[in-house]
Amino acid sequence: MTMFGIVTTISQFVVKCPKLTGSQGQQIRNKYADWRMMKDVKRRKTVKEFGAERMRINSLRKNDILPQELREVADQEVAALPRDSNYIRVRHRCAITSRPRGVVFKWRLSRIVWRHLADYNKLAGVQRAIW
Amino acid sequence: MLSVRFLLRITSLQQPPLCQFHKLTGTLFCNSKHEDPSSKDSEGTLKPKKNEEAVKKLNLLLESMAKEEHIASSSSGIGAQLARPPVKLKKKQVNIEKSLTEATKEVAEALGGDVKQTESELLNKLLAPSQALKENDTEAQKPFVSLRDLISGMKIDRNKGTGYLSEEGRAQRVHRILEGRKIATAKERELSIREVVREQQRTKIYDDKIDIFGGEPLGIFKVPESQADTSDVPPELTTWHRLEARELRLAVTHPPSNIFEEMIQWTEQGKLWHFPVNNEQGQVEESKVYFTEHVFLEHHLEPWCPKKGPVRHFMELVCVGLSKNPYITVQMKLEHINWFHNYFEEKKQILQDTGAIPALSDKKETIPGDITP
Repeated sequence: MTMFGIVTTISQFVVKCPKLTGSQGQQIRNKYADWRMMKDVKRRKTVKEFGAERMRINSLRKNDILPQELREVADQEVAALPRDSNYIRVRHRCAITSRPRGVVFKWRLSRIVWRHLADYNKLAGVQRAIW
Repeated sequence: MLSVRFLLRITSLQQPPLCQFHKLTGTLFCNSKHEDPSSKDSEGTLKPKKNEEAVKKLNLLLESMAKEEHIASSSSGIGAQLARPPVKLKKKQVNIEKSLTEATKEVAEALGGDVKQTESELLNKLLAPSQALKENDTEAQKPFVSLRDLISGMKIDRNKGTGYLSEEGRAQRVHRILEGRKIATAKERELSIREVVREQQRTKIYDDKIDIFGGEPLGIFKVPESQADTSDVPPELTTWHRLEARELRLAVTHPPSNIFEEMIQWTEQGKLWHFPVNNEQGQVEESKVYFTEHVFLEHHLEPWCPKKGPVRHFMELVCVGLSKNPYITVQMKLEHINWFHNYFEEKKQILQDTGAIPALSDKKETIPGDITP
């Protein structure tokens, strides 16, 4: 496929796809590093909204004290909740580069970015290890 | 050059080639030996005859220059093939005459009396100068005027205040405008007629003090009401005041003189941990909450939860878990408990059917060993 062909297909796709376009077929632009980061952000928002409810219903399900009928009802209720409300679906990516692996959890940064900032003395209490 | 060629043709037609007209020197001279019966008589008569011939030829040349050249106007030959500009003069003349006649007719009728006589007189007067011009064009040459005659008639122009001094410079103009003076009249400035005319011809610049808000507005733009209403009250300069306050603060405060002072500043700003380090630094609200509120949560179950049964068992486990959680606030723990309370209220029917909750009507008939795992 030629360059022009690729461009036209992308533009058509963008125009048709509702998620990528705002009103009147305009492209949505955000300041996130990439679209995977954007999706992760959406998942986090749903977790914030439904996460607690999901956890409570799951606690009702995962026990052998309460009657089985109640647990079955709870199963159905959990299935009705959006899939992205599950905390386990959230990927702790790097906040700057959106790297999925090698993320230092406390700073939410990938190891490469973390190292860069630490070398330039931008991280409080972080020093090169010598012993 | 055409005239020269013409001359050569004439000479060639009349006589066999005798003399050549040398282009560079511009003189007639005889190079080739030519047999002339008149020249054979004597050598002495050769020179005067040559001179006569030369004079004749010069005269011919002058005549040819004076005459109009009719080569181009001939229908046959090279002239016909040459490009000619379109002839427009005649048409113009005709147009003028028509308009003139119409105008004269109208004028004559307006005046009254002898219409035809007035017409003829007017036309004569109008066309007389043009006719005179036509006569002039037909003349052969204008009379040759010598330089001496021209200069003898001229006068020397002595002007003291010339060009750039009499004109008003930019600085002088600005001074004049600011002081509110007005430009003096031509007489006062002693301008000649020529200078006055020149001034009038020049594009005039509006000089006097301009009042921008003097005239009436055109009404093209819409004036926002906020601007229109408040005219006397000056606008609030919030940024300016803020910056002024900042400047005062900076003037009073001094930068840290050493690292200790800098670190003190950071600690006060909250960039540095307070030493000795307290893990709960900055937690103001949480410090007010006593630990018992976090740990002892069973008393929240008392109003609604049954004292025995699976529900109680479950809720006690929930409370144990929450009491061990130091990361969430008491409010959040209470939210959890209340949610379960609401949920069990909704599912009361199922619980009663299964026997988890002892129903009010069936209180006496409860079977203790009927609880399903």
